Amino acid sequence: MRTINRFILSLAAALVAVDVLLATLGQQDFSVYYILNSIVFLIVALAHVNLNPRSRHGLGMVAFMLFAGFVASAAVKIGGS
Amino acid sequence: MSPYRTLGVALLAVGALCIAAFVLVFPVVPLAAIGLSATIVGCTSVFLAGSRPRLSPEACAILMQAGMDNVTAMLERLGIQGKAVYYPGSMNGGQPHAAIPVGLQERPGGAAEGLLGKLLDTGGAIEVATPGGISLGLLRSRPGPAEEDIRSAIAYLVVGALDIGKAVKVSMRGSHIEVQVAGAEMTYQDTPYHRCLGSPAGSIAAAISALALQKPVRITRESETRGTSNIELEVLS
Repeated sequence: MRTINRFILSLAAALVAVDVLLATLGQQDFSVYYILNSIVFLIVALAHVNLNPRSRHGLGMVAFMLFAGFVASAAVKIGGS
Repeated sequence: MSPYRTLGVALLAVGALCIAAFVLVFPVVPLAAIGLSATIVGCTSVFLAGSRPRLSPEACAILMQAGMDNVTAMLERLGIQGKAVYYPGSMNGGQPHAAIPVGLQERPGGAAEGLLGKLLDTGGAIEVATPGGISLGLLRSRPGPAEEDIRSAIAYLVVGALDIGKAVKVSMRGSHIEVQVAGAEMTYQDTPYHRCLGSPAGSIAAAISALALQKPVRITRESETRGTSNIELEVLS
């Protein structure tokens, strides 16, 4: 199996596992799902450090977008409280 | 369109719909989270689609086969059976190449003609570019001489950049280096090309070892057992 296929499959499996776990625990806060999904993405990306430079650049872009979403979410919560 | 891009766009659309539906219309947070996960995977897939080479694997295979056939024809024409010596670019003032020794005793019956004949008569060596030497350009930095540095550099190229293996082990004993590549593609075959220059994974291992140790390296033996390529290298002084 190609490295990119392995990466996408392991990412999808890990994200679904986290969602199912949180749903089982009765979590109802969407931002908790978002933060944990982002952390799982970073962990899976770190586990695939051997990806070629262009792929790692792409993953960096996704990580940046997730971080921007986190900052926006935090700003909304701080502004609302 | 790349299949990764198609998958990514589809997942992005489904994920966005899920989030919109289960956050705004029917508030069910766990289902919205599944939409979020689909969006993340879709986004990743779209970005990774751009990292794939524009040339198709078939075109790459044809170009590689043509190069291998040309070298094989040259080796057969000259009757060369010796093993190539990989040496670092610093010993040549430039691109790392491999030198194929051309000894008079290795010449088949009858004199070769033209330029090749002159090369044979000098008893020198033919310098050729190798997959390993060329792939060194993909390395982020020059590997150190430690066993782990060499293993890490080989894994970066074989497992990550070129995707022709799944895992790499390296053990160094004196002037001998043993490299194991699990799940290797394009493994060693008993052809003149592979006998002289090694398999692609062997060529990469030899070129990286030569670069890391700053010494010439030769592939002494290659074999395959249960999907694992075993490559034995000798560091020359």
